[in-house]
Amino acid sequence: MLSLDRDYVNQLPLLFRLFKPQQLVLTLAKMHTVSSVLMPIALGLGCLWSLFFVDADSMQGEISRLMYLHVPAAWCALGGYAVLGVFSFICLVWRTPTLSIVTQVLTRVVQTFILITLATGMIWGKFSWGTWWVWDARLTSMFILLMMNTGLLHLMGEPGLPVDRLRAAHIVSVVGLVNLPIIHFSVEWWQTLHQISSFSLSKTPTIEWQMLLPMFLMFVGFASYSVSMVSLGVRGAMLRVRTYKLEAA
Amino acid sequence: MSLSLVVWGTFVLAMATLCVTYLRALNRFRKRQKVYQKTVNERRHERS
Repeated sequence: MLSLDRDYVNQLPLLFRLFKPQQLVLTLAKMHTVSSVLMPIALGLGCLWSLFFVDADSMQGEISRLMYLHVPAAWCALGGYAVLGVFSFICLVWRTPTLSIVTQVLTRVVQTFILITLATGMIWGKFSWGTWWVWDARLTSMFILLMMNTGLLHLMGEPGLPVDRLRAAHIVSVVGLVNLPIIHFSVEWWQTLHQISSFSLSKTPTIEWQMLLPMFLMFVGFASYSVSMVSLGVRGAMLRVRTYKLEAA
Repeated sequence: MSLSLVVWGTFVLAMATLCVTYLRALNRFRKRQKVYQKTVNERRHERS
């Protein structure tokens, strides 16, 4: 059955033409210059805007400014994990070693953003809910994502991994994709202390554009950071392979 | 504790985290670049 499926996949040259993993990795490697310039500009402007030029929320006061860190970090954590899951799936099906380098770097980037999301959320919660942590659906599902990603970090945190261990890590990250819609819809499916989403791609945002702009700037900064990290990781791995080849020659 | 201080502290910590992780990755990459360049120079020297 497995060989039949693999034969079927191998008969899809159009997919290879539409999506070339090697090309994507090379493009990512070249994007470092742009992203490393964009990152400090976007983050600097985003921080200045969120701390000085936006009025504090009338109900929550100054602490609501944490939203400009918390929300973009959560977008990057979930978006990054979605990319990680999709790339892991491609690695499993098409066995592309170049993409597995990207998954290894992405795991570290996603972990950073999950930790920023949870830390800022906890501080915000302490001052607005009166508690650091509650086991409601949104917080618990995000905690599960943290645990899964920590496991992934241990599975594929080091370079030159055995193939079996890398494949196990890819299977875990694909399984982890199930958690993403649970995190997103948890505030609608269950009654939670966490507020419902104020921003959706399909609906008009319920928050003012003055607040959306710094949030967007911070998101661009975080996304540029992710691209820079992946780019550095990929270029470093390419150099390592070239060095090995030269030493072996 | 002043709320502004908490907010500022959190922003500084978050930015410092990103900065440190990025600089560490950049440093690791530069070290690899040096090792690669050293290997290339050694091979050239051997050939000549």
